Amino acid sequence: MNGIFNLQQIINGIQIGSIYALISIGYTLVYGIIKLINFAHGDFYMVGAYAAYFAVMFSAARKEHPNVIIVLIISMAAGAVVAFLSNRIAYKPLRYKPRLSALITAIGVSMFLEYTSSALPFIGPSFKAFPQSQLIPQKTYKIGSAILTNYQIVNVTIAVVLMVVLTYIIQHTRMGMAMRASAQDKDAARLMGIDIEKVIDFTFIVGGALAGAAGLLTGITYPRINPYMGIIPGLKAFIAAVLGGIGSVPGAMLGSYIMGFAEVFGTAINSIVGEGIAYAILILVLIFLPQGLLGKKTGEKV
Amino acid sequence: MSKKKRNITQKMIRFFKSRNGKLITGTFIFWLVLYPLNKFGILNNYWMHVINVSLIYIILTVSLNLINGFTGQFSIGHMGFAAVGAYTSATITTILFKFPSHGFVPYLVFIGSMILGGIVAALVGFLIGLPTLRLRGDYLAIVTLAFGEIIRVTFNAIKFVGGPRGIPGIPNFSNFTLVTIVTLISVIIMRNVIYSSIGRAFLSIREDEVASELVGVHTTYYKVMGFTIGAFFAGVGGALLAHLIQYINPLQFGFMATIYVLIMVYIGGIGSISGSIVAAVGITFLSEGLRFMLNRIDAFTPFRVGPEWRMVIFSVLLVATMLYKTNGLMGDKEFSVLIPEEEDENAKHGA
Amino acid sequence: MQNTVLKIDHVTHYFGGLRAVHDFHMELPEGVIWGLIGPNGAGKTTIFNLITGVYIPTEGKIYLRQKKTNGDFYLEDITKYKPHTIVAKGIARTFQNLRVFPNLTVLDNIRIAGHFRVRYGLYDSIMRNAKFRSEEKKIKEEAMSLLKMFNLHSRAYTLAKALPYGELRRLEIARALATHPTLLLLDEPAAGMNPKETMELLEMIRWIKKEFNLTIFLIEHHMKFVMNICERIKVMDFGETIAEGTPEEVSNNPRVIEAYLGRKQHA
Repeated sequence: MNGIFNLQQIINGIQIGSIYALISIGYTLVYGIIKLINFAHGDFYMVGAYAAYFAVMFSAARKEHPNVIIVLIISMAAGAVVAFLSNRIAYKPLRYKPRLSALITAIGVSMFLEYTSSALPFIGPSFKAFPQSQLIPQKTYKIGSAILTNYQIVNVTIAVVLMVVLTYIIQHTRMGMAMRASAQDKDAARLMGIDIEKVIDFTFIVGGALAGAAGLLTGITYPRINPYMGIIPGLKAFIAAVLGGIGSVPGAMLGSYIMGFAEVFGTAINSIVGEGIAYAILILVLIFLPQGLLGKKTGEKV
Repeated sequence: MSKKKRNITQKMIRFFKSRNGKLITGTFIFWLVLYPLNKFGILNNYWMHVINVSLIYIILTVSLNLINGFTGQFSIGHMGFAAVGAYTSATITTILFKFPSHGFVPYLVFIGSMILGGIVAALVGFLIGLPTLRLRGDYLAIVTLAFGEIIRVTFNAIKFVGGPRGIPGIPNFSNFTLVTIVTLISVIIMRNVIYSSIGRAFLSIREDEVASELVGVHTTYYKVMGFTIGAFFAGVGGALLAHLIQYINPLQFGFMATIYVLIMVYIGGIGSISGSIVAAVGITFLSEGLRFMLNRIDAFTPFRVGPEWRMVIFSVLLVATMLYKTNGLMGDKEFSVLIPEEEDENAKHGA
Repeated sequence: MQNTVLKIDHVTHYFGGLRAVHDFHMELPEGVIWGLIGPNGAGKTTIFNLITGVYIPTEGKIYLRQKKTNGDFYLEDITKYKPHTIVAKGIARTFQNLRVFPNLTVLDNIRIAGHFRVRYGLYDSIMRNAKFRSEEKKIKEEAMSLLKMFNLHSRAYTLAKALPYGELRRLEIARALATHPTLLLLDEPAAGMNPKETMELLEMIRWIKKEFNLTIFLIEHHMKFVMNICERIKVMDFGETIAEGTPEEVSNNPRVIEAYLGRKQHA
């Protein structure tokens, strides 16, 4: 049961993939509708983690036991609010200006979130330990030679539940249909009476909420958080979305799990491979399969 | 006076009256004023260091502007090229030859290593640019970001150049005189490229790549050319930085470092060399001034007031610039002294 | 026929599963003005894109006449060539929705079209040597004289985006001519023009054909315009060629009337 492809790696892969999936969906939804790579999306994830952190610390200070569901809602709300505000303040005014301006602005928003968190005295640039055990006391299970913690179970369960809810929203609600229509053709959707800006607002809220949830889940499973924690996972989640086909929600999920497994197996081979495999995947995809696994090929009209 | 002497005098007068002449003379006066001030202790070494840093950032900013602003490609891995230049030249002067920071031969070797650093960076830029420059704007951004990270990870992994510890004890070859001269030459070269048919080809790609291709411009060739030239000067800048700060490690050349230069490019003005110069100097000095202020405030307050507040301010400035003055402070305008005379009317475009 | 300037040899083109052009065949002789008409979406601009190398045809070939060093003509297969190569071989085009370089001056717009004929390189640009200076002077003079011909001389240093619509159309045509083409493709040159401007355009096209020794192939919706200036017309609908002939023949063709002209007669 030793070697690279063993149960432990599979467990880890599913768990990492779940976190990437939650972040990745937000990227793909926003890109699908306004063709913007929201560089700040990884930072919504960070905000969610800190919101959860403060919620737990707050409860602990009042000698109360924090409720996981409530903390989850708080982290999702935090992610949603930051996402909504980013859109309204920074992206909406540039909606009809050249796309690169919006990209630069997204970088600016990302920087702002990271450095402000880092600069605020009660947060600071260094790592903080996430109080996982105060939220959920740890239990471990052994399956063969693999170790499974209840944190990982919670992680994957919450992620899957959220993904199912999201899929339901997109496929079976009117807003979801509006989102799909707007992603295909904004102008046609507008002509059909859909208020595009409301749809975009909703997209950011949903994406931000999922990212915020991912932040909480990360805090539970890897109990270290810091203001810059969103940069690399954000980049990897974006690569996962591209791998799966940017604009496609199932693609984002598929790409994220592939990415999670690739990373876990890569790290098992060599830590450098583990660090670099995400970038290698990105370059290979963009050169050989730019529309991603589940995406459609589109040409440019001249 | 003999006829020959008169001719030479006339040529000299014409030179000093020309734009290039004014540019060079101005830089010389700049040097002439600051050098003795520093030598005789009136201008202390700390501020001299800041001036040197701002000059090097001029090179980095203009070279990134060449790619992003003039050719319209969205490259955000620029400091990766600086890293290549820095590591190449530092390896030569520190690891291969253990040089002191003075003496004629070591200096020559340093200048050679600096140019070599630029060339290696240009090569890396060429190899990266060739397969990736056909990608669309936002995808190109992510790929260049990824390559910047790959370069950083690679240097982090190579034990020969110190791995995560980097290279300490680099000799201080980047003195004020050399930095001023290299900056001046770099700006003039990049300016000359921009005000030529090649520069116009770059601009046409930025304006409308399809239309550009359909009036005969080999867009891929010129995109790669712009990218390579920009990478070259980033490498030169990196080499200068390495021999100024005297210590380099992979972390200094990550995404955050590129963002710092990106901010200078976009606030200064995409498509304006003058804007890049103003922004590079302005933001460097602003950054130092803020660092002072924040230190003072931190001493006062019971809670921590960290240097990150500078970046908070810069990020707000960046977003504000994008929202209210999308083309940057100077847009595509230039100081007259940088515009070749024959292009003057065209560059001023009936403004 | 070696006075054939352009030969489109049974070209069919698919976009994914959609057939945009079916079995398009054409042999365009030297010195004529041919027209391509058809309803929106018929595939006309696609033909232009296929000719200029923006797309490579799924089936079929495209040939362009070239001159050998000894003066003989031959047909070169340009089917797979990149657009900039095709431009260098002598085809220029304008666009349905104007594509000038908006933030560049009128002069620069023209100068860029001369870029591929420039004889200096990167080294010369950096060193600002005599070769550079003399070539730059030549480019500027050529560009200015072309602008004079199109009455845009006074606007040379104005940003293109500041120009009114009619002048922009002239600029785009001038820019195409700055590439010294032998074949000029005009994509709806009269779009958005009032009757007076359309008459002026007609005159200008006749004039440039003579002055620059051109073969012209144009797409237009404007029926009077096409009937007035084209010597021969091809009609497309849904990617198919439904008629070809002189203006009289085409306007009397029942299929054409049904598909296209019929609707237009009420306009």
